[in-house]
Parts: sequence; C-alpha cells; structure tokens
Amino acid sequence: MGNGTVERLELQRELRPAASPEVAHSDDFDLVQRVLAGERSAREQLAGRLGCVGPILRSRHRALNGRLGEDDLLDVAQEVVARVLAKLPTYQGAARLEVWVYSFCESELLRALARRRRQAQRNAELDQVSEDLAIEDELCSEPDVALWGCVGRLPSADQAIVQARHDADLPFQDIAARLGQSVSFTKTRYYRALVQLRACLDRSRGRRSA
Amino acid sequence: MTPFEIDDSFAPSERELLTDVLAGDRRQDDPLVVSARRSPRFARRLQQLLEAQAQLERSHGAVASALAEPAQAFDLDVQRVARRQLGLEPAPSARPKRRWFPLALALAAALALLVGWLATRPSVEREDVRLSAQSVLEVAADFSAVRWDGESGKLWFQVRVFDEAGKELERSELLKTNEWRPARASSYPRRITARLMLVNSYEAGSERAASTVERAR
Repeated sequence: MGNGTVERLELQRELRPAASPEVAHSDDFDLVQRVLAGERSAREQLAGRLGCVGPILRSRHRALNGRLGEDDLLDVAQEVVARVLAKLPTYQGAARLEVWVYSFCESELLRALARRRRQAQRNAELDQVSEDLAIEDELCSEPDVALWGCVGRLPSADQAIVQARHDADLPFQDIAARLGQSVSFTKTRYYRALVQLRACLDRSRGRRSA
Repeated sequence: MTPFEIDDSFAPSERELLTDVLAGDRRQDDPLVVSARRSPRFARRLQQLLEAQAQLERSHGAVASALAEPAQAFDLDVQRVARRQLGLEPAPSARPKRRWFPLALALAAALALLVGWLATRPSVEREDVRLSAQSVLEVAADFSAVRWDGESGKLWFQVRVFDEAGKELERSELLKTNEWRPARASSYPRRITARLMLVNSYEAGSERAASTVERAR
C-alpha cells in the first residue's frame, strides 16, 4: 500500500467509532478490519470486491444519460476507490460492501457529470471555489445522493434493518433472528428508521428549495 | 408540501398500524387502515413514509441492476486502479502509454508459437507431402524435357542436371509442375544425370529421384 494511504488508514483507525454489536454483514466488516490491520490477503480480497465499481459506474452512467468518455469514467472510478479507502474506517457492516460502495459511485458520478455540465456552460463570473460549492449544492439536491446520505446517518442498527429489508429482501423474522432481536422490536426499529429517513430527506429538499 | 416532522404524538395504536402497513403485515385496504386514514394527519404520515419506502426500493433496485451488469474490459481497468491504490500493483510510469509495446509482444509470442508449431508438427504431416517411394523421373531422349510424378501444384520441385564427372550443368527454378524443359539441353554432353529435388520448408533440396540417360542418336 502506498505510504500516504497507510498513514491515512492508520490515522483513521484511531478515530473510527466503536463497532456496533449489531453488525449485519460481519464477513464484510471483518474483511475491512483486516485491510485496516494491513493484511495483504485482505487487500487482495478487497481489490476483488471493488471490481463492482466498474459495472456500477457503467450502469449508472448509462441510466443518467451521461456523456463521459471511458477515460473520464476511469477517473471517476479512481476517485471512487480513493474515497472508499479513505472512508473504510467508518464502515460498520450495516450494508454489504457493494451497496456501501454504490453510494460513493453515485455521488462521484453525479459530481463528475455536474462538473462537465458546468464546464460546458462555463460561467465566467464564477471562480473555481464558487463553482465547486455550486456543484456540491447541486449534488445535495440529487434524490439518490440525499437518500444514501440519509441512510448513512441512521444509527448503525437501524441501517442494518433497512438494508436487510431492501437489499437482501429478508422477511422481518429473518432480520430479527439475524440481529438477535424480537420481530416486533425489529419492525418498530424499521418504522422509526423510515421516520428518520423521511425527515432527513425533507431537510435535504428544504435546503434545496431554500 | 408540509414538511415532515418527527411527531411522537401519534397514539401507540396508530404507530402500530403504520408499522404494520410499512412492514407489509397489513394491506392499505384493511378496514382498520381505511378507517384510520380518515384522519388527514394519519393519511399524510402514511403517504410520506410510503414515499420514503418507495425511494428505498427504487435505489436498491438500481443497485441490483448495476451489480448484474455483464463484465466489460473497462471493469479490468477499474480493478487495476483499485489494486494500485491498495498497493498491490506498482503505479504506472509517468511516461505516456506505449500502446505498441503490448502489441509487439503479442506478435512476437504468436510468431514464436508458429515457429514452434512448424518445428514440432507431427511427422504424419510430412509424409503427406512426400513423393511416393516409386517416384519416377523420365528424361526425354533428346533431353528436351524432364517429367516426373508427384503432387503438381502443391510441392516445390527442382531439377538439377550433372555430367558424368558430377559437374552441374544446369538447374531449374523452383517448380510446382511435373515437367521442366532445360534451356541448355542442346549443349549437354552425351550422358547426363538428372536429379529431382524436393524443396520445402523443412526438407529443402532432398533428392527424391534420379535418372542417368544417354542422348539418343
């Protein structure tokens, strides 16, 4: 691993919050912990798992009618991987790794597309800093970016329930069994998670319309 | 639209009802739900939460569809980027990419394979192109023509003409025919030896037949 990356990961290992006892994807969580501990075989495994970045970017770029060339898309991929590695210490295992990585792909791709759009309509009055801020504002208003941001802000245990329900399509009985909770408690947490999520999404919309 | 607020003033029975609908345990046309929806506050809350749920469904659908994409060459480049950033592969040189190099390497490998294949082809293929053991070489009585049997159009032949002392008098071009007419036949001595050589990539110039003849008077 490059020296810069090692130092960054070491620093962030110190800062990372304690792992939640309710880790839904414990294999992925363990993998990330081994990467953070510097294990080479874990890095090999993670590199394989990050292979999902290519298909995700291609698929989303197509869905968004993007006009980026392959080289530009590869630059986005590079940025995604860099951000994922920088955020590894925050991974709690609430979502499987690919779903977690997906949110990075979505936001980086939208950022690149916004940048491209703004370059095309170059506004001479905006300096680079203002332009970057405008892009970040634009990004916050993207419903998917807002959604993933809001999901990421849920308590880890609630995230795990939401992900298990919508990503793995698990019935509440299975989710409860996996997390060692009662079914009614799991459903109540799910309801509360949706309430929090909706409130967060509305705050994002409020910021957008402000 | 009224902003969504985290409102804990819902009665436990209402929250339970909302939870049941969102968890899929109770349909929206359930009489209890229909009745509760007469309250605008309940109806609005249910609608807002169903919208959030639908957004989650849509986003996870997009994830599933993206992850089901068939692999493409681009994905290998991305994988290389990931390996590089994880310190598993050296960073690329700062020099511009020399795209001809991998191509030249591939061509050299292909050439080496071809040469290897030619050198180690099984002997049964050699036999296919050999003249039969009973090859016959016929020299016209006036030396004006030399004929032989063999696979015309497929094999390269060469005829070489020698005098009694073994001195070469003339040799033909490489031929794919079964006949050759010497240009200097009239100047040949009375007795000559014509040798038929088979020429190909792996048995160049091997003699396949010979005939010593005397010019007819």
